[in-house]
Amino acid sequence: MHAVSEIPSLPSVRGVVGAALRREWLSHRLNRFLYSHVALVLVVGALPLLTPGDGFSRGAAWWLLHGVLYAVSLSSLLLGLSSAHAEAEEYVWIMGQPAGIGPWLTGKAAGLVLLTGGSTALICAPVMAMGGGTRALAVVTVGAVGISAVCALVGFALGFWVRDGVRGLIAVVAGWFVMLFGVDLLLLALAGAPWVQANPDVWIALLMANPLDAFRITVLFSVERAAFSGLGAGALTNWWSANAVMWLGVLCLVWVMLGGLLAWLGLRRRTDDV
Amino acid sequence: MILAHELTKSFGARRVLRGLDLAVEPGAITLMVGANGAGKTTTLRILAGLSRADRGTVTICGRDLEKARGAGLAHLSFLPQAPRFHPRLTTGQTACFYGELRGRSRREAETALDAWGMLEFADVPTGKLSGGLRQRLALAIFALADAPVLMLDEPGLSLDPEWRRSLQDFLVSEAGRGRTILVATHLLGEWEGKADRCLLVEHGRSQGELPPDRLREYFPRLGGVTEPAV
Repeated sequence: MHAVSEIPSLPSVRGVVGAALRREWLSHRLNRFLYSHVALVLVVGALPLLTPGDGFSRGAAWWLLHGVLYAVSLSSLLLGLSSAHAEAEEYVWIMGQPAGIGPWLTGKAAGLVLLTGGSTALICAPVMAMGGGTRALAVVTVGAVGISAVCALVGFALGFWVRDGVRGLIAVVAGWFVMLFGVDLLLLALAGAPWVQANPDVWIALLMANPLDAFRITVLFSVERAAFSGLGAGALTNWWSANAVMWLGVLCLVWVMLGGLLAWLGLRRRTDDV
Repeated sequence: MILAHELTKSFGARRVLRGLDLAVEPGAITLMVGANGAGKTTTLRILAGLSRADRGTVTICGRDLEKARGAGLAHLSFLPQAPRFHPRLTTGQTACFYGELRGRSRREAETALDAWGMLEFADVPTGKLSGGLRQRLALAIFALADAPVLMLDEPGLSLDPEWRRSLQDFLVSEAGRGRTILVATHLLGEWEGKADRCLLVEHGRSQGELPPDRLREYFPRLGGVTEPAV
């Protein structure tokens, strides 16, 4: 015990971040969402093996693209939501600590990103195990890790804004539909507008800003090298086509930081509700 | 020492605190009593930095909570009402985490768990603990902070008589060591003769003090729980 007159000694910000990161890892040891996510990732990773003959290596990128878009992204969103909701009952303790919520949230988000991204990296394991490792597989795996991290933090942020479990689930599924189909449908609806026709870079920029679209375009046109009819359509399109992989990396980083910021704002907004 | 000046707080159109003043001295157990809705929990939450007052100031050991929140909270340990924890983490992991946030070692965390009879549950996920065991875990974490100011919101509700007595003994001992202790409670009977001061809160304002050795006389006014003293 310390003498009452002493000023209590507290850990550094880095110490709090580390403690929160370790706690996040420990808390997932019994999280069924994590085990479901790992199982799903391995199933998606094994899909290329369905390719007839010995073409599984060449077809891996196409299979993994669709597996990530339609399954792993949603699973990552749910993992992020469950992470945010798991501690909802404990905010009264956490927010009353002298370190404040910033370092705790940073450590927790970092733990979640590492865990989700790390487990998603297993997506290449089945093809690698069958001797089908290629550069394309490596690029798609890194992209899948990035998308997974982005989705986990979007789900995480939604979990801090929508505290109720059922509403949180609805919000996550709605967010997933917006990212997967909503942006594309909106862009399709806008495509014929004269103003968009006159400024195609704006249309492209919106497409580039959506991580699922950026991943899709990167895999189809940069990794799979599908025929691209839009070449020469504009400077931005050409730049994107030439730097798709780098852009996907930057975009994922920006979205991860945005997710963390939104989570922090959501938690701060709840100060009077804990 | 805890000082609150002219605290006001509204939730929508409902005014909960209407200029509450408070001074809690070190070396004593101070009760805060009042009927349901009087503003006790809101006051404690503001003092613990969990809620912001619309107006007024709070200082903990001389640190203004608005201007130096971290320094103020470093001097404070708060035990909330009906505490809950991450259900997938064990008792030991939970205590160690809060110990780390206060710069305490794993050994100190285990000592605190042991003091509250929780070391044998160290490997049990907190989601599987009963209400009483959760309360004892909360008390272990609360004590682990080793802070000069201790605030408790209805601390004995889930505890059996033996552990309620242990809690009172702990607080009496800590007050003897010069800690500042503020307890919001409805269990007036069991604090009679143990508390040094008793602050009355009504309609969001401080309404003076009650004699701490005759609290039972005020049951009808305060809606106190008439449990026998432990």
